[in-house]
Amino acid sequence: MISDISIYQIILGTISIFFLVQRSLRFIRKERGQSLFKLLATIIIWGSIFIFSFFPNIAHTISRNLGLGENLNTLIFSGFVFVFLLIFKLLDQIEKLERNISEIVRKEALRELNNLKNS
Amino acid sequence: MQAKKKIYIVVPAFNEESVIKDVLKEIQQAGYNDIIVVDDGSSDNTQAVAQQATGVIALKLSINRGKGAAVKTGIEAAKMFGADIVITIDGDGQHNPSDISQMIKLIHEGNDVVLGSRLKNPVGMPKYKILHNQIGNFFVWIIYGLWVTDSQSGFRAYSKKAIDLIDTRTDRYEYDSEVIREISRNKLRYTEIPIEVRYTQYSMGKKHKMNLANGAKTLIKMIISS
Repeated sequence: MISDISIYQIILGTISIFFLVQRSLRFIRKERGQSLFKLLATIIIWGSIFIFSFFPNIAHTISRNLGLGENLNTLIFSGFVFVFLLIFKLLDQIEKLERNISEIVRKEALRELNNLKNS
Repeated sequence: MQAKKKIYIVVPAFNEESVIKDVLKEIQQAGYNDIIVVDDGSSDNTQAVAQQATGVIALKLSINRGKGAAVKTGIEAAKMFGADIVITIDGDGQHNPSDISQMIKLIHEGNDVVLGSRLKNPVGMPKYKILHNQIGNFFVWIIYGLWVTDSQSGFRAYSKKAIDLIDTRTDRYEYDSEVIREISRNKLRYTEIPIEVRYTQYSMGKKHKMNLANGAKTLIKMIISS
């Protein structure tokens, strides 16, 4: 029933639809950095958020079947997920820094070559 | 009459002081004199030894940045010299420069990229390397969406169109796989040819070669950069 839907469900549903459509379009347009892997990850993450926001009973069923019925367990599990995402983000940042260092080193080597070429 | 194409051979090298001279000599004997060696921050005299060879351009990265960074630097340098075709070949002597002529022939026939494949000619290739390679190929296919028989090979040929279009961001061994993504993304015409690989005690004993731990790191970096 539409009257049973709360505001948080509408917000989460709208955000997940936005990301699902946006990322799918980026993949279809073959924009830079898009891959099938990334699209599948988007569908799994945002698709799950969409489904769980409108059908929270599914989450309860999964939680019970996985033995995460206790609130504290769920909290610890969420903590692990958060730490994992944080590590992933950190690795991404380190990767960007590494790329910048390589670019500086490359430019330095090519500048020397250019000087040799022009001398 | 068609103008003669400028062919540049890019050789990434890290601590290859003891073999680089012979590698360059072999390339020159195969008929290629425009060679760019990129010393990837070696702690030995790789650059100095390479520079002694006639006509060789030897660049040096001030710190070790990985094979991908060295190859990319070499390709950028080749572009500065107006290269029409670029061949990349490892600096440890495991590749046979006599395979270059076949690669160039295939570029002339309209291919943008020619991938040297060890698995199309696995004679003498250790079984664990074949397995590593197949696992690598599988993940490249899953992440980048293109199936090739040797996604980790460093012996490749690129047309001018390919070197202008291929835009890589990774620095280390994941570079070779990233090129596969770029072939797919830019819809480049490619082909694979069997290459001879010489597994010597020297090339097998190098510390930085791809192993299981490096393979796992490469996979994580491929996922992050995809």
